[in-house]
Amino acid sequence: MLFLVRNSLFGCLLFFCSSVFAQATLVELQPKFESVKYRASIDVLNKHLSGILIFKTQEDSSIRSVFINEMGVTFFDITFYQDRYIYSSIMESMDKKAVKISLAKDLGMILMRGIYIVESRKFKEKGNKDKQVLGCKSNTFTFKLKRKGTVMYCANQHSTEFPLIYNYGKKEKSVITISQNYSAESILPDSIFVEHHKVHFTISLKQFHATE
Amino acid sequence: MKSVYYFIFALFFSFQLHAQVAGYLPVKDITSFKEKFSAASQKINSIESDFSQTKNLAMLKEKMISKGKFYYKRANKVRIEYTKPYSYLMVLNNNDMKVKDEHKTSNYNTRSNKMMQSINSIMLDCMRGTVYNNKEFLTSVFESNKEYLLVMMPSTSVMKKMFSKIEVYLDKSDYNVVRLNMIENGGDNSMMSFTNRTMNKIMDDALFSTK
Repeated sequence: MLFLVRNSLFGCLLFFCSSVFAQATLVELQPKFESVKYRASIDVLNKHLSGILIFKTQEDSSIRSVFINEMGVTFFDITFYQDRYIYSSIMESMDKKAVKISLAKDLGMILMRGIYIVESRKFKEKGNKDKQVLGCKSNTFTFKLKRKGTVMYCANQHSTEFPLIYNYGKKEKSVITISQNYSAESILPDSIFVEHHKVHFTISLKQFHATE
Repeated sequence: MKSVYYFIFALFFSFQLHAQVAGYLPVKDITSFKEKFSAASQKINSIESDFSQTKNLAMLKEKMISKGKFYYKRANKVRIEYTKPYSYLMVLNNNDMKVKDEHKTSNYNTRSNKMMQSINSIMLDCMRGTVYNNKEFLTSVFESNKEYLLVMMPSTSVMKKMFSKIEVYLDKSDYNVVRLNMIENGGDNSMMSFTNRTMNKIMDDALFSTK
């Protein structure tokens, strides 16, 4: 009996510690920046949209993501919090449930927030088998999505950059691949390419500076 | 009954206040303005101009500036060619539209896309002097010493989602558009300024090809 109680207490302690550790680690991994602008093109529903995508960290640590066209008209405006995201606006032709979910998932994967299950966040290094299959050279981290599936981040040696991100389902076959190229000057990638393997949906981002 | 009159007056007054811009006063003789604006626009067969576009976004500290060339050919052809900081081309020809960026060339029929259709009609109305005929906006006219200011307030739900208002600044000497300010609901705006204008130059139709 004493043995059972002791084991239960130990189990609870382990669970509690791992939960705290997991949350702290996700926050540690998230990119921290003030604002970044990307030249962006999105191909979705046989439509090609181009413009400027801006990521901006707000005072409450949420990240606002706004996509505007060259004339200044807003295509969409999403704010990512740690455990959720909110659309402030989206243009009429993109205002479809599936598009909105996919778009938020893609950007959430890049920003590492808003789309993961908070209470069961997991942080672990995957085995060599996974690394080999997906071509990861160094550390890997996986997180469960609120919706179906898992996201794996292939990191560099110091876990500060994530050149490859995979979203896969039960069959462990990648449904979305994100490739990111970094430059020395910026915390966020210099270029990002998001590719959906089951539907025609791509996002191409290239960081740029067009200021006064 | 009296209260109804007060309400209508207050509504009208608040619209005028909302539409008004500092340094500009309402034009008294609207009919005369409309006639002169229309007559001046009739004389324009083509415009070639440089433009600079400044985007002010509340979420960013800095302004975003882009530059390029603007072309207009009577009666319904517009070419907007962004050259800095990146290349982007938008051509409007009747109801056809071509957009070309670094990755792709896309063709649209503006009739099937409300946003494109609206941008098309705003651009052309400004050049042709037919702003008053645009049913998607209520337009008021103001003036300063050097400029007329047309304040276009959206009247349809589609336009209300896109803009809080559009300001069109005209040179008083020739009624040509010198600035176009598109203001969104959150207060963000895009101001296009036109300089180095060349009027009525012969332009090849190929410049406005949407194929």
